[in-house]
Amino acid sequence: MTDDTRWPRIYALLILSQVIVVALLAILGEVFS
Amino acid sequence: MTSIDWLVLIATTLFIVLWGIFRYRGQKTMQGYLKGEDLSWPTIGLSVMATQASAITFLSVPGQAYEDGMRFVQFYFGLPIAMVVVAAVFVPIYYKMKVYTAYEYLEGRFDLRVRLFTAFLFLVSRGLAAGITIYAPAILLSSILGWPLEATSIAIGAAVVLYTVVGGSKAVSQTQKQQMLIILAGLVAAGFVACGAFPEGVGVGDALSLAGALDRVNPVDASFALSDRYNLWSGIAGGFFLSLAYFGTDQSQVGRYLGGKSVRESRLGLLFNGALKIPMQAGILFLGVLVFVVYLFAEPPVFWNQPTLEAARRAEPAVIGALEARWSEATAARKTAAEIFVAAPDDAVREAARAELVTAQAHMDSVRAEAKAAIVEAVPGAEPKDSDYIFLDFALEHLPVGLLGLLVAVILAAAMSSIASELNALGTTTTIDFHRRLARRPPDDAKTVRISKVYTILWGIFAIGFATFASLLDNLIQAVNILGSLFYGTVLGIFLTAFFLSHVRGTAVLVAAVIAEATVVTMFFATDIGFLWFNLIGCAIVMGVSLVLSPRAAARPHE
Repeated sequence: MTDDTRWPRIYALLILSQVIVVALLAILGEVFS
Repeated sequence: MTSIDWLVLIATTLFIVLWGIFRYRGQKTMQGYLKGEDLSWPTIGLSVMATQASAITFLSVPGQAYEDGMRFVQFYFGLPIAMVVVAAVFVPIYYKMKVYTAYEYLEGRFDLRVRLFTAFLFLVSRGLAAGITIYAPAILLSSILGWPLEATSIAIGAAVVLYTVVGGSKAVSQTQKQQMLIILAGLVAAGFVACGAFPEGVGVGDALSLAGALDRVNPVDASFALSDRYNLWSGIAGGFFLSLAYFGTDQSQVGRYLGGKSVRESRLGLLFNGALKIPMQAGILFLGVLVFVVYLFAEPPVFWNQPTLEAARRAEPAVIGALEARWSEATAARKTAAEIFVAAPDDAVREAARAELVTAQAHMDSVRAEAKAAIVEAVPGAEPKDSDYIFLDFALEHLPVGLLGLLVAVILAAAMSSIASELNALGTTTTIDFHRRLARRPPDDAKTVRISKVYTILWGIFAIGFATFASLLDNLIQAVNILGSLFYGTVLGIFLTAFFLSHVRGTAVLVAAVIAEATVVTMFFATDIGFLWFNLIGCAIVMGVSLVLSPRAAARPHE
């Protein structure tokens, strides 16, 4: 498979996006508590 | 429900069932019928999501947010990491071995016993879960239509069995794509309706402040307690292991992405799920929070299960009447406090109103607890848990004509999509891992397809039967998850040992698995450890004991 090297970057991107989502949820909780 | 609601409901549901049957009927090859082959990543992604999002998700989760806030979202925090591991490690191995079920791989890696043991654990846990998956929407339908629970269980189960048996795995995946789109549309619509039900002058910001004051906006809890079901740490660690076990080793999910065109499509489908899951669950919980705010300004019933409440009123009119009068007073006090809170001209008034709100809520909680106790006493066999009815009650009261039909269709779609995957996986596993593998003369392709249809029907009948006997456990969604957790850790341990501990052989892993399962079951009954942790514990015991039983040096002492 020629695009093997792209997968780690795609995985990292997914995790990063979810960290941002969780951070936003945490902020939501902080602001409205 | 009005006739327009009925039209929407019947048209949507019938379309999906008939489309599944006629578009994908007549598949004769094992590859086409059991795997589905050639699916692209959006189909895989939506079908993976639809499999996990059962009707329970839409009945139970908003109710959970109403009572307990958004904490439950943390349960999904480990999921995206698990998606990466499944995509990177599990998918290429399954593709390389060209397996129909995840358990098939275990025979090549260990031996037949390990394959059968693991497949058996799957059949037990998933077989029971399939019953609960039918039960939840059956309650909804019986409550709306006034039909007996048995009738609605059979109606839902039979519809799913029909297209799952006729169209096989492909029909399951393709119908799930449509079901998931209907689900997402329905959720968004319900959110708008909830916001529209706020009184004049109350916006979403006010709603969040009110919900926050009453501890309903609490999605992330970073404190650590082993006995706590949902916090950041149990969500990331426990949720990771549960998701890894569910998506990596549960055939109802593995079957979804094995039907992909290529490793690439399967991977992207899984990552799609990883990206959307937390936002979607947060959205559903948020819907529950919005419903909570709607009822701050309107009197909620003291007990959400209306038929049971009616029965209690008839049995003990004086006791229940007195409690309902106190309840009305308490809700009126909370409503007044909420109105002052929203209209507060300055922080001092707002803080005073907040304190009033908290006091009124505590008063309501205590009256409700008393009412529940009185109802259980008045109606023998009544179930005190009523949070699964909250969202349903809201929908029946607030959704406009047409939308209620759509919402019921959403819940049915969600139920059918999960049941379809489960029955398909149960049928495939029974056929491939037991019947075909243990037959003296393995049946040919066409016969295997026929056998698999028979097993799918039998599992359907079993699930319907189980659904008619199930009663509301602690909470439906938690019951299914706990059930899964008792087996998942062990199954995951077997698979991770297979992938990462290459010198371990069959006997060692089998003994380790039995020890792990016994330990987990003992701990479940003897300790109060949060159930998410059992995935990690079971998995760690399997891998640890496997290692101890097969030391590299001892196996080859003189090398």
